[in-house]
Order: sequence, then structure tokens, then C-alpha cells
Amino acid sequence: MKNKLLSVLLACSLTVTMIAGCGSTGTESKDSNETSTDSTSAEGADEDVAEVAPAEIDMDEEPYEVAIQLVTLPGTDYSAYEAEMEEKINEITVPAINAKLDIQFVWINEIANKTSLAVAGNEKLDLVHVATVSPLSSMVGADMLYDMNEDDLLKTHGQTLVSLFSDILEAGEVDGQQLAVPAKLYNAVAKGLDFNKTAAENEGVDIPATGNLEDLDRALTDLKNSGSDIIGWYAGEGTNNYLYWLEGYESFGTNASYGAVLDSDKDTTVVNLYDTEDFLDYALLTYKWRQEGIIRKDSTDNTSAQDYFNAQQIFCYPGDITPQLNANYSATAKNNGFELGTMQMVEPKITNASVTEYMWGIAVNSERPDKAMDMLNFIYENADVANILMYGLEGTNYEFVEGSDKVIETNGSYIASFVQIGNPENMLIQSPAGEDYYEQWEAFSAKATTSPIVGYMFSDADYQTESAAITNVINQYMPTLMNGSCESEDATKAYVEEFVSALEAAGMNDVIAGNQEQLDAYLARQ
Amino acid sequence: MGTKKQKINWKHWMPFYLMFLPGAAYLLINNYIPLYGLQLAFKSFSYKKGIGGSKWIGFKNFKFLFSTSDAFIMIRNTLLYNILWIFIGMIFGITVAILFNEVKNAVAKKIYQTAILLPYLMSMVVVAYLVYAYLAGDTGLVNNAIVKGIFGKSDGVQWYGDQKYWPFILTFVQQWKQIGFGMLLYLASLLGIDNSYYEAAMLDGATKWQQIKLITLPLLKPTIIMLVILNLGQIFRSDFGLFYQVPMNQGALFGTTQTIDTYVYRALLENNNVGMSAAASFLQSIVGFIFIITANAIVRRLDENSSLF
Amino acid sequence: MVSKDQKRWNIAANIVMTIMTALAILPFILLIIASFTEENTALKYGYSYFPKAFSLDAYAYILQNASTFVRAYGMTIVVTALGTAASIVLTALTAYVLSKKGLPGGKILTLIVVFTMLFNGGLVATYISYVTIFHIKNTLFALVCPSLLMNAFSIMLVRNYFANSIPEEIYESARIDGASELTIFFKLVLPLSVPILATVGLMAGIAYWNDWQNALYYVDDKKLYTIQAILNSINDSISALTSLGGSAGVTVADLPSTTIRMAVAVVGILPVLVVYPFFQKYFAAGLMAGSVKG
Repeated sequence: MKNKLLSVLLACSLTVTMIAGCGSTGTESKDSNETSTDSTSAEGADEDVAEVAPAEIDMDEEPYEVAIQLVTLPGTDYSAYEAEMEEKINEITVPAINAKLDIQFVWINEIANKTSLAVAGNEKLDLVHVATVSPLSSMVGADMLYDMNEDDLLKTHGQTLVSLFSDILEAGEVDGQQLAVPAKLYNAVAKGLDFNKTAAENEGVDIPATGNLEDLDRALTDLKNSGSDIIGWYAGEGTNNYLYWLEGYESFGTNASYGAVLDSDKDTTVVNLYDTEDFLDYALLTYKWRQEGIIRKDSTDNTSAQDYFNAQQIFCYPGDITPQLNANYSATAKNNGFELGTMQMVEPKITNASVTEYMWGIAVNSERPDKAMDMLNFIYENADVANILMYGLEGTNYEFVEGSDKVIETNGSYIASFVQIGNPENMLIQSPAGEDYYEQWEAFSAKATTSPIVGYMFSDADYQTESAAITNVINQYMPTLMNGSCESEDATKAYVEEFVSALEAAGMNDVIAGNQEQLDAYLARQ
Repeated sequence: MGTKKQKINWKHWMPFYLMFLPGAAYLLINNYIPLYGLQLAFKSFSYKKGIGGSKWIGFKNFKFLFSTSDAFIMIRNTLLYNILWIFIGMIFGITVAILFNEVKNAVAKKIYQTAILLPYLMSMVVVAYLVYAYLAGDTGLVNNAIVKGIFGKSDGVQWYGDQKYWPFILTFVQQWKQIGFGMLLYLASLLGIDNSYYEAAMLDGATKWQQIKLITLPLLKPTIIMLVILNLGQIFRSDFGLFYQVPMNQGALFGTTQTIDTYVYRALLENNNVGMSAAASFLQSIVGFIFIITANAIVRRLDENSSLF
Repeated sequence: MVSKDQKRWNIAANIVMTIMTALAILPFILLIIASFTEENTALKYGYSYFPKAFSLDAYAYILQNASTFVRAYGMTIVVTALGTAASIVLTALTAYVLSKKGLPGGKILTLIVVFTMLFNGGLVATYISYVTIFHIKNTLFALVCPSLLMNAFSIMLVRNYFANSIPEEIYESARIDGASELTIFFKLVLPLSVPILATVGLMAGIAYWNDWQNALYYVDDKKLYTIQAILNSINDSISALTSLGGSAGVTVADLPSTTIRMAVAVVGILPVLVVYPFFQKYFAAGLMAGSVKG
């Protein structure tokens, strides 16, 4: 048995000095004369979580201020509430973990730039938003995030996180480095169709609650034949591969640029999605839809599908299906005068994509990764802190719905649009969702399976050139295929063939081989 | 230069060097100090290690530019559009500036000048929306009013579906947006021409056309040469918004709309690689540098006084 | 006496300028009408000069955040005024030196200036140097200094004007009168160069007015945000979110719609249009300067 804590703290201060070495600011490493507790050796700890004792918190030092990024919609300015929110939070956190919270509101359009510049300029930043437009996959390459495996930081300072996320924690691990932890407790996601139920009923179109591409094709054809002028299918600019929501494959990289696993429960071979029957069939289907007028001829458009959908211009669009999204979208639909329906096309599943959708990371230049981890851990323990971050201040930003101490009505003055934090089981619930919201989630999650490759993420570090070339090829061919705008069926087939050979020329096969190798190694470790 | 023995009168020139200092200080801060970032083009950038500490990887960052068959297309497009626009911009700019100068009514002048600058003030995102409003297949104003309305065709033209239209559309949009600015550049030089030249010419009975040919154009020559040389420095670059937003990011149009900048943007969407974008920018700079130095050398040989340096 | 020739040119000029004015104004009118178009109508029929339904919703959305917008406008005006004034002085001063024929090392200095048009260290390096060496983050300097204060293109433009449009005799006579170089520059050169200074001033002014990057990169405090930084963010978020596809955790319905983008553009351009005519007289001032010379 070694003095685990001592080594943790020593190494911590070492890293801090090391990081500070590339910047200019001084560090405060006053932890070397810490008392130590018994613990397991570093080697043994890797295998078993329970054996690592939580680190003790030094309550005598000056409380460290942990900076956290909260991502919001552009144009919003919550600086009026910021001070009071921080004060309320600090009242809780200082006695508990001897740390303060410093909220940094960042607009979603700036988050990617702000994060990378703050890290490059060695500015104050601890807890990093690893989601939305700056997902883990985009941050892996350049050492922007602190490795939480370093000195078992996660295990010693993030016990709550470890027990909450246990089996999906690995999703944040790339190349043996724990770069982020999941942010959402519920990660089951079904995929399928959101459609305009009111329109479907009016036009006599029958759509089952669960279905497949054939059902979709039938429904869209029926809709067209009914003479309705609502547009059946709309792929926008066509840069998103819609097949992702219609079939149950798991893809690596945006638009499967690093390949895909078609059915992870049966076979973990990585294939080139665009070289599969499924994709060719879908390309031919969109061609057919376009010929039949289901896809509007005028397909060039960067208006979002949701915009058109809410304006009742289009009948449906594919997307994720979860109780949370259902609640949101139904409310929006109601505001626009129609009822929302869904057709589930892919069973609820917990995949790497769904887990990594929202994560928290620690900036590599964080002065005190240990305090950052303490704080994150504490927020998942203490619902009051999480509630403030998610919903703002009671009385100012929200009120309790009459007769409930759980469900709240917000007045729109504070919307943490892109924040996922806290353990929702103890947290407030935002109407229109009701008291049964979490039962819904539990029921939904109970149905879900966990992908055997949930914890695997491809590290593209050695494939940067190929990645760039492939991304460009996909961007070139995708719009035509998503909108079915080839001249004929044969032309579509030829175009898909051309697409595949362009991908191969760009090095897709090498990437897939590398991906397979990493995946096999991952599976062998399990 | 020739006579080396000539004594330099430092006392006479000293004030000028002092006057150059504030500008030099700004260039140092804004441009020269950050140049150490150029090394990123040859490094695998790590935020942890910083710019200096990142690993050297030779020319690996440049590979992605040439790893697909797109390399030829994007370089060709970038060069051809730039060369074409340098000349068109020059001809239009001068013509409009001269014509504008001929307008005598002060109110009309104000209206023209304000209006013509309008497109220059719009962002490309908005321009892209407006172009779409005109060119959309089903709802577009051009199809509905002109193709269907005037020519009586039953089907509109699918402008966004065929790349052959785009050299014209892009050229039109670019000129439309820039012409107000181009006019201003030449107008200032026109206004700087001493009126007495024209008065003398008119006394001699010269026509307007002769005045333009014999007075205006020769006096604009230094401006023209300078603008051409400076524009050549940007020959490997392109207006990202114009080539990305306006064609609505349509893959089918890449043949005539893909430039180096749009390629780099699209290629790095996934991995967001700092080193690779630095490499692309470095290449663009080098090519621009070669063009500028060459052009300047040619000009110096033809007409010593017109060269920039 | 107006000759026939001159009359013909005048008519031709007016015709061409009218056509160009129409080409510039028609899309702008469409932009304004689009911003008043009812959202669903716009989505269904596209933008049109004669929309089927009007709506003020887009402007109502902007008014919702009126206080933010007003403050941001104020910020923009301050930054534009300061930046443009500083830019003109700095550009003219530098250009004046480069315009001196026979200045020892003049060509090298010119090359030093032109070089900055070609090579740049990239955002990361520029950011690090500005923030860690000069500490401009979250200050007014952050909005004025980076990249906009002076550029080689304007310098060369002004240099050209100084070199070719101001006769050498003027300097000679001033020097004989015992004026210092700085006095000559401020008292003689600048007044004679109003047209070109107005041109580069306009360029700088528009660049400052339209700039959003400096705010986005160098400012965290939303109170220092300029109007274009906010408008651009609103525009940008739509593409940021649509790129997330159906997996976005929020409904895109929370976001401003396309007609709001049009309204946003109008809000950004209109003040320039209102102010611009007042500055136009400087573009005609060259004629006056010419008469001074004569």
C-alpha cells in the first residue's frame, strides 16, 4: 500500500507546474504537506473502482474558484442573475467542498472558438462544455482536455460520477485517456420520425407507432396521393445523412466518415456505410421520392427542417426520440396548431453517440483539476446547485406549479438551452413535463439495450489527412443523394459508386482498417 | 542603387523615420509578432504544449490539400476567378468612376453613390438569401417572372442544380457587391487630378473621350498598377462567404464553386485541425508572395517609377 | 458653355448610374420587404416583392431585447468613431513616409508593409500575443486594435495619392517658409488629400461597423459586445444548430427564424445609410483641393 493521496497530490501539483510552464501565470501548490490516508496502489486501482478511497478535501486553504461554461442561445444576457446565482451556489459549495463556482455564459455559436482560445491563451477555465458544436470527437486531437485518469483523479475526486455513470463512463475515454465524463444520466435514445399527426389524420394517412422504411415510404406515398400540398420529405441542404435516424447502425465520426457498425449486437465489423446495400437502397428511395414529387424539386435550401415543420410546410423529419424531446417538440407543435406524432424506427439504445452528445471535460490548463473534479462531482450530488445552474433563481426565473414542490414553470428569463448537468432524479422538473417525467424516462430506459461498443471512440489522431479528405468528399456527394436529385435510377447507382470510389481514394479503407484495429483492441480489453 | 557616394542627408530624413514609427509599432504588434504562429503549419499542434512546444511533423499538414482529385479543381477555380475578377473589377471600377464624375446634379450624385454602396454593406449570409430568393427553382423571382413569365417556359431553370451557370452567377454577385467600393478607389484618384489639365484640353478642343484617353487613364495608371499588384498577392485566396454561402453549399456545384478556402473549411469540419489550416494559409501566402514579387519585378523593368518596391 | 459632347456624356452617365442604382436598390427593397413578411408565407412561397401576408414579428423579436441592442449600438458607435479616426491618422502618417521619393530604405519599408498583406500568424498566435503580452482582453482596445486599425492596402492607396496627386512644389515652398515636416503633413498634406482619406476612412468605418470577430474572440463581457457581434451570433446559431441535425437537445423553434435574419440585416445596415450621406461631401472635396493648387 502506498500513500495514494500523497502521490495524487504531488503529481497534481507537478502537472499544474508543468502546464503553467507553457503559459505565464504562477501556480499555487500548497498541498505537499498534506496528511495522507490509506489507499490501494495505483496499479491495483485501475481494475476496481471501489478500492480507491475518495480524496479528502483540504478545508483550510483559500476556496478555489472553479470556472464552468454554461452554453446559451445567442443574444441572451444573464449577467443580471449571475452574481446571485454564484452567491447562492457558493453558500452551499464552500462549506461542503471548499470551492466556489464562477459561471461563464457562452453563446453556442462562440463556444468552439472561445474554448480553444481560452486554452491556448491559458485563461481561467476549468469545467468545459464538451457537447453540441464542440463535441468530444472534435477536441480529442489537440490535448485540449485534461486526462482524468491522471493520478486517478476521477476515481479519487469523482466518486459520485463513477457510481452514477459506471458502465458508460468509458465513452469519454479515448486512447486510454479519460477526457470527459457523461453529462446526462439518461442516455437511451430511440430514432425515427417526428410527423404532423393532425395532417396525417386529415389526409387519412396511417402511420404506425413503430415502423420501418417501408412504412415510411407507404405513408409518404399515401400523403402524396391524397392530394395534400404539404411536402412529404425534406432534406434541407442535404449535408446530414438522414439514414442515421432511419436505420439502427452506429457510426463513427460525423456522417459515418470513419465507418459504421451495422448491428453491434451481432457483428462488430466496421464497414463503409456508403458501400452498403442499405445506403444504396436509401439513395434509390430518395430518387423515387423526388420523381413522385414527395421531395420538392426545389431542394436547395438551408431553412431548417424544424422551421418548415412548425410552419406545417413539411410532413415529417427524422430525428432522435426521447421523452425529453417529445415533451419539447409536442409543446412547440401545439403552439403552432397541430399535434405531434412519432414513429419509432430504431429501438431505444444507449450508444457511444448518445452518451457523448453531452459531456463535461476539464481544461488542460485548469490550475486545479482536483477542485474542478470535486465541483463537478458535487453538482451531481447536490440537486440544489444543479437546479440553480439549470433553472436559475426561484421567484426571479421560475415559480413552482401550484400544488407541486417538484414541477416548475419558468418565465423564460433564464434558459440554459445547452446545459445538461446534475442528477435529474432529485432535481426539479420543468413543465410541460409533469411529475411522472422521470418514471417515463425510467420506463423508456428500461426498454433500452446498451450497445456492446458504447465505450469505444475512434481516435483519429493518425488519420488527420484522410479525415479531411473524406469529410470533403462526403460533403460533396451527400446533398445530391439525400435529395435524390440524380437524373435516373442508373445515374443514382453510378453516382453512389463514384462516391464510394472517391471515398476510397481519400483513404477511407485505411481509416476503417485502423478503426477496426482499435475497436478489436477495445473489445479484447472488455 | 547607382551612385553610392551620394551623401545621405540624415537630418532631412530623420523626421520621416520618426513618423513611420507609430505605424511600424502597430504592424509589429498586429502582424509581425504573431508570425511565430507560422510554424504551426509544420507542427502537430497541442494546446498543452503550446505553439513552441508542439511536435514538428514536416510537410504532413500540407498533404490533405493534395490528397484528393479536388486539388486541381479548387486551384484552377481559385486562380481563374481571381484573374478574371481583377480585370473585370478594374474595367468596371474605372468606367463607373468616370461616368459618376460626369454626373453634374448634386442630388442625383448623392443618390447614386449611396445606392451603389448598398450591396457592399450586406453580409454574404444575407446576400445568399437574396440570391436564393431570386434563383430558387420553384419560388424564385427569376424563374417566375422571367423564365416562365416572359419566355413562357413551363419549367423553371434549376439554377442550383447545374454548375455551368455558376461562373456567371458568382461573377455577377461579386461585381454587384464590390462595384461601389471599386468605384470609390478610382474616384479618389480621379478627384486628385488637377482640373487645369482638363481645362487646357478643353481649350484645345479635345472631346471627352480624348480627355479620358489622354489625361484620365494615364494619370490613373499608378493606381491601376498598384491595385493589380496587390490583388495578385491574394490570388490563392477567395471570398469564403461568396463561394460557400451563395451556392448554398451544393455538392453538385463543386466543379465551379469549390475554391481552396471552401475546401479547407469543409475538410476540417470534422477534425478542426489547427496545423492543417495553418498549412493551407501558409501555402496561400507563399503563392501570393511569389506572384507579388514577380509582378513587381516585371513592372520595375518596364517602368521603374510605378513599381511598389 | 456646355458642349454637345459633354451633354451626351452626362446623359449616358445618368443612364448607366440609374441602372446600377436599380440593381443595387431592388435587392435591398426585397430585403426590407422580406423582414416584414409573415414567416409561414415566406417559407411557403419564398420571398417576394408582394408577399401575401405581412407581419411585424421579426421586429418584435428584436425589440424584446431592446436594451441589449441599444447598448450594443452605443458600443459600435464608440468603436467605429474611435477606430476610424485613429485609423485615418495612422494610415496617412505611414503612407506619407512611404510616398517620399528618395527616402533611404523606402522600398524596404514598403515591402515590410506589403508583406503583412500576405502572411499572417493565424488566429491562435495572434490571440496569444494580444492577450498574454498586451492584455487587451475585455477592454475597448480589444475592439479597436486587432487587425482593423491599419492595413497595408489602405496605406498603399494613400501613398499612391500622396505620390501622384500632390505636387512637389508645395513641399518646397512650405520648407522654405520654415515649416517642420509634421506641420507640413498636418497643415498641408492632409487637407489636400481629403478624397483619399475619406475613401480609406469609409473603408475603415465600414470595417469597424461590420466587425464581429474582435468581440467574439477578445471579449467575454457581453456588455462590451457590438451590434454586429450580436447580430452575427443570432445568424450563426441557426447554422450551428442545423448542423447538429435532429439530435439537438433543444428545438430549433427556440431560434430566430429566417425573416428575423432579414430584420437583423436591416437593423445592421440602416444606421449606415442614414449617416453616410452626411459624409459624402468629402468625396467631392477633391475638386476644391484642385482649385487650391491652381
